[in-house]
Amino acid sequence: MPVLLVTSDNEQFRVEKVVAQRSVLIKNMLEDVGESDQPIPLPNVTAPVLKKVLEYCDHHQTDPLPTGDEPSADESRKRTTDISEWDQKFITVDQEMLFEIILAANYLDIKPLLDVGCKTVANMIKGKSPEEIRKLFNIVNDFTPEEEAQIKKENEWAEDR
Amino acid sequence: MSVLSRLPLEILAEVLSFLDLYSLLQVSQTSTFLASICSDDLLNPWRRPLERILSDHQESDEPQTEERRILSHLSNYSRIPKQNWVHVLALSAPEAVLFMYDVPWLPEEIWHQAFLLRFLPSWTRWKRYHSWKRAFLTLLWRIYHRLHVTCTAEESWTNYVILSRQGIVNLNAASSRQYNPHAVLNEYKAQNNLTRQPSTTRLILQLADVRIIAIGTLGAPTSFQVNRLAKEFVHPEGVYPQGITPLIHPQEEDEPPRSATSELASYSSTPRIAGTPITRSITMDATLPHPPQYSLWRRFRSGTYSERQTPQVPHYVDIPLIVSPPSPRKIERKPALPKRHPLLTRPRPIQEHRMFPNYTPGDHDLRWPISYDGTVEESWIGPMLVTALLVPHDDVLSEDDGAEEVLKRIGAGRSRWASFTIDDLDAIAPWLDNHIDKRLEGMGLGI
Repeated sequence: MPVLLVTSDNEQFRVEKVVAQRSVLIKNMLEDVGESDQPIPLPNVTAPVLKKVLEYCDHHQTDPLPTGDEPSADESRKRTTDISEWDQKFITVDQEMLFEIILAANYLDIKPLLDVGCKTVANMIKGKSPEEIRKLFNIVNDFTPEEEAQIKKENEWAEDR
Repeated sequence: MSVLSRLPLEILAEVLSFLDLYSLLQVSQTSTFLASICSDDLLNPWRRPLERILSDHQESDEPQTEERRILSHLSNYSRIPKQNWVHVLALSAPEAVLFMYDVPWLPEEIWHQAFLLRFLPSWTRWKRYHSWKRAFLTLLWRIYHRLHVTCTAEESWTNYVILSRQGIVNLNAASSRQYNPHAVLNEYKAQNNLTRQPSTTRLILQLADVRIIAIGTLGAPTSFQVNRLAKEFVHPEGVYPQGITPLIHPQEEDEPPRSATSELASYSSTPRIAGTPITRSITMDATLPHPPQYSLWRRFRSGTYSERQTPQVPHYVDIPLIVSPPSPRKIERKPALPKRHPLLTRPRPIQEHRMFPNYTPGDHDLRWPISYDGTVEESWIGPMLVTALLVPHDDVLSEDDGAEEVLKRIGAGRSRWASFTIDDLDAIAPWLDNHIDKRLEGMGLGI
């Protein structure tokens, strides 16, 4: 049975229930309202972002849902920043869209997608110097001279090789 | 405004926790906003990168990686919350804490927590009236010392635990210089007429500094010497290797005990005859008896001498016999119900045993034989000895080492045996509480 989702910009998406239920938020809503044709409003997600999120849900519709009672499995998943090939292609988007997807995954409670987004940002940061990170994310260096001196002092040991 | 600042703080901390230690350090030196997230006690993005490094068992002679170099100088960085030191102290190699790390001043509570995470509960006896910091560092030094020198001067007696088949746990001690758990167990086996049965050693659990090892005897599950306490200790109820759900059958109370060496239960193919009266026979053969005249049986049945003069057919012969078709006793086997036990957190197992007492996927949970497929029915019989062995930080056993090598390495290091007490047993195997009838110090002398 299809489910009707309505985005913040009033666009409607009719998707299969099994796809929509990858989102824990939507799954809980559907369980609460029962069998109903009522559209589900998603005020925090825009149409382009939801389209992208649904693409992910559709591809992963048969994956086992993550369970909360396996902390160790969860931990091991978080130990690596490896991303599957399909996910890598899927998440190759501009920075703006990447952050929108992360926010939407968080709002819709799609943990695997949130992980893919977080890992992608982490991979962008890895191995870069503070200056390169500032440039990448448009961050302003707002440390005071004293704080800069403190940072330099903290790194003194690294120069002593 | 940076795009990063659009993310909620928790998500940003989650992103940062995917980084390696070096990259995270760079991020903490990028802006005051990111520095504040890195130094937040609750968000603490350092925990996962630190745990990842600490759970990698780097060989002591390997050159240090950049991350390990940072780890050694962690105290230089003011934006790393102090609470991370609990895990650094609890999971690092003794020589790293003693000789390599710049350990800063830390609150006593952090030393206490690290002590509880790292060591067996009974080792708190070393604290005496000193601080937790002193107790922690003293113990680390002792471990380092014993791993490098054949010395038992500071622990003259080694405690070990015996799990008996009567549900009794005995705490015993042996002179550390002479202690050899296999020899000790052989004495117990001799007392239980199990000398001919080979001993089997199983690695139960590995902590940062010790392996908990069980040595016992495997035999037929129908033996009268089955040690259920040992079985529960090695294989907690409902815990099975991943993907294996053995078929089990309910314990049959009326099943006659068999000898320790008997094979799997075998059932007579001779059909039993139902409906016959029970005879005073010591055998299970219930076929119609044909006793000679004046036999004891006849006299018992007949009662008077006069009756004995005239052979009579016993009364029961008149009763028609209902002969049932041959049918071996059926055992209904059902798939075992997997059960999740609460994870052991204090003391904390090494990463390879992180799911203990549940099964930890990978090649390191060696409580089951490598060939285990759920059909083997051997049981622990007779007494089981539980002991602790000090191990170097980078020494982790896995199936890849081969069964022979595993057994050889488990038993290695005669001077490395450490005390293991009932308190330790209670801490690592709390589910045994329901199965233990008595806890005794010493042999108990039959009490």
